[in-house]
Amino acid sequence: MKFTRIFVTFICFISISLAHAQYANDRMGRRVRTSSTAPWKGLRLSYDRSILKYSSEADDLKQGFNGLSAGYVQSFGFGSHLPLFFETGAGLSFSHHSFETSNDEVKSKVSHNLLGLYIPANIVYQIDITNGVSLKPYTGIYLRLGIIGKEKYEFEIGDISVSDSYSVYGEDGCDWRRFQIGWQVGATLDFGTFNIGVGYGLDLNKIAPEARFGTFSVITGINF
Amino acid sequence: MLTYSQFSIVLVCLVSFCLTACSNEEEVCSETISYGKHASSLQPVSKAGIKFPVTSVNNPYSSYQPILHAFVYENGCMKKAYNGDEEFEFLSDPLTVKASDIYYKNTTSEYSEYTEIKNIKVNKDGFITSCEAIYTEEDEGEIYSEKLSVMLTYDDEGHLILSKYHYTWYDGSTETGTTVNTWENGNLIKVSAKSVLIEEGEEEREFLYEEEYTYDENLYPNPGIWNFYNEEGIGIGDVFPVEMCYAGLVGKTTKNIPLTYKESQYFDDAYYNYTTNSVSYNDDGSVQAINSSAVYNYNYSNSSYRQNIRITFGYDEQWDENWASIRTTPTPTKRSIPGRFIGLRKKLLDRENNKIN
Repeated sequence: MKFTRIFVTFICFISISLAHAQYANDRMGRRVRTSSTAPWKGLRLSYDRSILKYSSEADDLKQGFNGLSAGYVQSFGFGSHLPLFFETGAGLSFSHHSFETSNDEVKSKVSHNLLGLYIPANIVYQIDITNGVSLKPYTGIYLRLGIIGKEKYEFEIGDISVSDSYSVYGEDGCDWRRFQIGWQVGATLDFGTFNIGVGYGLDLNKIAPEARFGTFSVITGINF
Repeated sequence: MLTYSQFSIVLVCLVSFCLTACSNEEEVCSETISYGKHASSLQPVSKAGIKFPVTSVNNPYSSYQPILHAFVYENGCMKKAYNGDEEFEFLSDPLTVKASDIYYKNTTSEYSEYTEIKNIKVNKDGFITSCEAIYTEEDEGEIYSEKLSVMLTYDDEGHLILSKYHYTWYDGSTETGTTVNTWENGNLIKVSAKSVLIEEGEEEREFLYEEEYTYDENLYPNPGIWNFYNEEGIGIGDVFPVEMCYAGLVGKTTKNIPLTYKESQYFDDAYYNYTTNSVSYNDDGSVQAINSSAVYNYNYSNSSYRQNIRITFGYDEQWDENWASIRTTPTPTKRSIPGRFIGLRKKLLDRENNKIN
């Protein structure tokens, strides 16, 4: 988590410091803005590292999830002279968590699998670095709708094995909520039609009793 | 006035400070895994195999506390319980158990103690798979708080086979424990417990403890009781009070009442053994009384103490929920050492106290 925050700060450093690159000198030596204002659309694929943090009194527990997201994005410009865009889209995200312990004759494993619909709504600022290369820091919100969520446990105690799986959502399950809204921040570096980037998102509402997600993502994609 | 560049640098410095000046948040995993379904309310005790809901567990030989436990039900579900010191309330939406000292609660004393068992998760049979408990003791403005997290696992027949706990005392001491229960033909035959105690300023200590039971499958059927020889229930270690067992929250009890109970490994100090002499039943098949013999062996003095025990059970009492009719009124004493204690440390301290007495 600390690494995540330092990395995001580094991206902010890059974003602000390279803001100067959007300016070039015209023939009179005056600084003029040279950023492109053409919107884009494309596909995105990301690796997500999510931490589900429980803020209970008895146990400060954190569970790490690994996941992948794939989706489509579309941007809309705010004007022909302003490199500021509104970007939205939709995608599917899958994440998995597993925790195992083993000692003496006892082995235990609890795992979670989540599949959800992810809808971002970001404000993106484009900073042209050189011809075809641009930096796009963004911030905004996201909506996430849980489609499938399963918790599974497996225990081996001596010769006895027990296991079960059930939905995490609803009062009949683990009382998790399907709908989350969150805040996110990040930046992508575009090389022509390809792009890579990092981002961090934090749920604003709890998904489980006394627990909510924070997610660090490494993003790659293609525009068309 | 700041230029754009200067403003940017300041902004980044602020962002950097805010994002990196955080406490270390290494991912923490607990030995006690929190798993299971949301529990909104208790289920009828019949779902846990309790054919005759017990309303009282009595020890006629105790003048101090002849009624060890008393229970109140509503629609077949436990509503309240009382153990002579504490009242237990079973609340819904979500399922929560609250225990509070009865005596001090009804006085103007500045002392109080209460326990809340919450974040209760259950398996498909309604038995607790994980939960947390917070114990709080307030004494003249001083607050002592202890925290417990528990994980339980059951076999396909609904018998508790594994319990793990992590307990943190008010002084920062911690105990983690694992108890494995071995069942055979519906009867608990062995309990193996291991705990690691870390007290502040002390080296880590490990405790091992075992108890074994024998049965005759054709003798003494058990329609759903948990106390055989004393106020403690069997097979649940020292993590939960027996009230949780009678509420149907920690699985099913044994199919038969044991013939013998033997502690085969303990702190090399005191061993308790019990032998069931007879069990009497009411006409409907509910247990009326268990007569047994106890032998308490004390290795430190190479001595033993024998006692006859008779535990009786009631099924028809209608208790007033103030427990006024059965509340004992001894001279109340606060705990000499703050804390409720659980686990093998509790058993160690109890045996130490018994040794002194």
